[in-house]
Amino acid sequence: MDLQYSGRVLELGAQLTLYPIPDKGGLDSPRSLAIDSKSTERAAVAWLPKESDTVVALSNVSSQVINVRLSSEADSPQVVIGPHETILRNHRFEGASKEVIAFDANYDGPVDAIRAFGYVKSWKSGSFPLRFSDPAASTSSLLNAVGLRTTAPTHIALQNLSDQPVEYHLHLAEIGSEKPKTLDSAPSHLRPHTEEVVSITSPLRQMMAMGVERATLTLKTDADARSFVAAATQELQNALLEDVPFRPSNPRLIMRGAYPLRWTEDYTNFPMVANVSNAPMTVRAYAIVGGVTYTFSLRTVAPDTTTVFDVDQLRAKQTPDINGKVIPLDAKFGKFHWAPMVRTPTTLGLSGRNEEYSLINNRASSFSCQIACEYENESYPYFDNGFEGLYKAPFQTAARTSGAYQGIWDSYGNYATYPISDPYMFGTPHFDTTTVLNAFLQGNNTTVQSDTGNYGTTNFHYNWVSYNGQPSEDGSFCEYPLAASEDLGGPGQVPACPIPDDESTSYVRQALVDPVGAPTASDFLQTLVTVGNDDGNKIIESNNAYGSDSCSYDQTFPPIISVSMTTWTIGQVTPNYPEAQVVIPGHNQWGPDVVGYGPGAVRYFQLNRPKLGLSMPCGFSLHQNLEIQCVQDGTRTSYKPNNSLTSTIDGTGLTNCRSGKCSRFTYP
Amino acid sequence: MKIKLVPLVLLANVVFMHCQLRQRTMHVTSEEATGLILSVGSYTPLKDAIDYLNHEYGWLVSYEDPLYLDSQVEDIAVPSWRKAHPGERGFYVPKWTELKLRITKPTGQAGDQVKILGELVQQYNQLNREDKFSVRTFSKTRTAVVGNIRGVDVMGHATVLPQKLERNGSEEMRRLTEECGAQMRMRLVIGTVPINALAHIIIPPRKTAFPCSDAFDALTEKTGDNLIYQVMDDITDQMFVVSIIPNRVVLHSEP
Repeated sequence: MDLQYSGRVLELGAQLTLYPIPDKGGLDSPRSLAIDSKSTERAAVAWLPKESDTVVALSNVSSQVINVRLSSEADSPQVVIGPHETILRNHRFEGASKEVIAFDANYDGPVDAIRAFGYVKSWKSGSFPLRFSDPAASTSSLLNAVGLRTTAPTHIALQNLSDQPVEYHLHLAEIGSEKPKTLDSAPSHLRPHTEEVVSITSPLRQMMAMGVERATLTLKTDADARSFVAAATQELQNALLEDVPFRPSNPRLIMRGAYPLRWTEDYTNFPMVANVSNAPMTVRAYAIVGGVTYTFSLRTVAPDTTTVFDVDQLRAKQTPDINGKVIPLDAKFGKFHWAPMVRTPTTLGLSGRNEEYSLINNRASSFSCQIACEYENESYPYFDNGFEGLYKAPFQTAARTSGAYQGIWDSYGNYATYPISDPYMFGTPHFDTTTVLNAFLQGNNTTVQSDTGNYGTTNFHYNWVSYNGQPSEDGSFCEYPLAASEDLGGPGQVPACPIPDDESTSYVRQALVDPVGAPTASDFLQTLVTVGNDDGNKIIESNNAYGSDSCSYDQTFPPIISVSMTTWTIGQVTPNYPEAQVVIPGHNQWGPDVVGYGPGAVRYFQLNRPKLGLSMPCGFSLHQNLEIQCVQDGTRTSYKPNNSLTSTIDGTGLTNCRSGKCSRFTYP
Repeated sequence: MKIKLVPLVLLANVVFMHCQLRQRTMHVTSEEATGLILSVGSYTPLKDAIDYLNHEYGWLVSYEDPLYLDSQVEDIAVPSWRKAHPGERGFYVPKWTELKLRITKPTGQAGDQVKILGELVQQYNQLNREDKFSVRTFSKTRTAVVGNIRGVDVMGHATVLPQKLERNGSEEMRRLTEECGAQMRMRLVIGTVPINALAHIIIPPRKTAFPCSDAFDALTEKTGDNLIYQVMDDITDQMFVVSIIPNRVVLHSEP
């Protein structure tokens, strides 16, 4: 099967699940990619259960004939494979006492021409894959099998490919604990060009007795990176075997991962990331499920510990992430990504794995594949409150605050945000300052505070440093710092006077001395909710939307569908106006705003609407927009855009309302 | 019996159709490239045409009703109200009129307003009606279409006297209404006015007597630059109603 797609490298992953024996456990086909090969050698080693068969498939994906030498085939070591041909080699070990099987293939031709895959099949024990790897592609002799179950009988198959004896020892460390319980085996030796199987069932049981459910196994050797091959197989239950791959924790191939998530039937997911280095490593992880990016907080993984991202529990309990998002319960599939936040040239350290487990499907799958260096990321600052627009007042401390976040995009468009708290994530952030506004990062770079200075306008500029990419195969970094500066938009405007956040309104009295509104209109007085002194500035009303008047039916008394476009002075009495002499605005107050029909209209509608069969009550409804005008600079700013003004006439009087505050009069 | 019932039912329908307030209609169509046809159905069709031009073109044309003759008006109070209020005065409106008025399409040039209003008035005055209209010009942008019966308009020669003191717009509105109403054939009451806006303007002393129409226009202009005044004949209550209203509603827009 040949699967091709367009898009970024490793954007798509695919895996076959095979069931070689009906009603027994399934096994997964490991991936086969050209980028995984550096030489024409392939090696695999595996535990061999009693009465088992092996099947090896050798595929020639090139367009030339390839001669393959397969070391374990005594009768026919030389295999000729035509272009785009696959050959199968079956071996049966019935009754044999052999406990381990090793394959070593080499060929002439392009390094990525031969793709080898196989599996071990036992009618009694089940089936598991034979993982062929290119020893030359390994850059570390430190091999890890992440998150082994301590309850399962476990077999470790080892192969020494070199001409020298190899010393090795096994190290088990509890997962999910910052102070893990550990267990070390005594050093052992493996002769040159030999293979053996080691049971670690007993040490795992010891760990289980200490209350440990899972442990990460580290295989430490004195061999060079290309000389040692290992495989771990765990016997779970019902002839279900789980193949847990050993991975070298070299940066290029391992130090980030992308695994599938699945919640169909009884599938469970268990993503883990282990740190086998001597230094703490910070990991960022996120799950993308049903269109939601669920972002875990940055997690520092101590040396010799394994951290667990329990997506199943977080989904079941609907636990919010650092941005308040939850994993949708109705989503059946997703993906889990992790990557290190490493900004020093570390050459090894992190290994990851996700286990998908389903009893119904007789399947326990490991996902631990690497992602190539091309898997870049880019990061930018993100602020949850914009800098543009109007600031409320001059000379104010913390006139506006904004949460500061690090937005990270991977090359596939996945996006996650984090509080800017990781010193690796930012260089030296710096805001340009002006006499109008001064913005600066605060609180361990988690917020931006903007202080206003004198009035005027300004644009915002922000200098910052971020990083792209990942460490490369040879230990150098393919990431690179970006010294960037970004315009954050604008302009930000500081008016010459405080802009109210709102106002409160109060009904004061019946407008008894207004020459045209008395006695059916109402006086309302407003108090501004503002940070400073606005006395002397202006309040200007306008229409936010068309008003309506259900009383007026002809042109004799025209409908009231507009405010009167009036300007009031804050804190001052309107000269020569009788109503203002008795409804006096105080500090930061304005008014009176006189609301209502005039008496002639009230009487006209009360008397004449019934004659026409028109219903009562009726009334007008206006949508008042209120602006403040700073006298000093002439700026006009809307602070209450849709204030409600109504008046309702019935047979015995009328009710006038402003902002929900109402007064009722009997009239006539 | 069936033959006798048919005309009775028809008659009932006719009566019912006239005894209710009718919805005004206005259809505007282009006539060639430079003309408009205003098809109006209304109790006050000329006023409706002016309202359309004010709204559509931002004109500032005020309006004064004539004092309608009894022969020109009808009672449209609904039968149920009549039945419940025997002997009481119903609700009177000018008789419903449907007409087509042809005008030059406004181009926004100076002189448009007076010229087109002249076209409107001329056509209306050629109808076989007793109410006639004339155009009164206050300034380049402000005019009024004034109704009359046999050459007599409702404000007639009403004037307001000089005023020595400053006063606000509300007070001016009250005084004008009282003084002018006292010289008119029926009392004059205040209709729909911008109560707050009137309270916030100062009217300077008036050194000479002023025709009432000019005084109302001056007050209207001072109160707001998109306002017009109108004087309507409240036939039912036998009074005139003076209002100051916007030529069209202006919505706030962010700068």
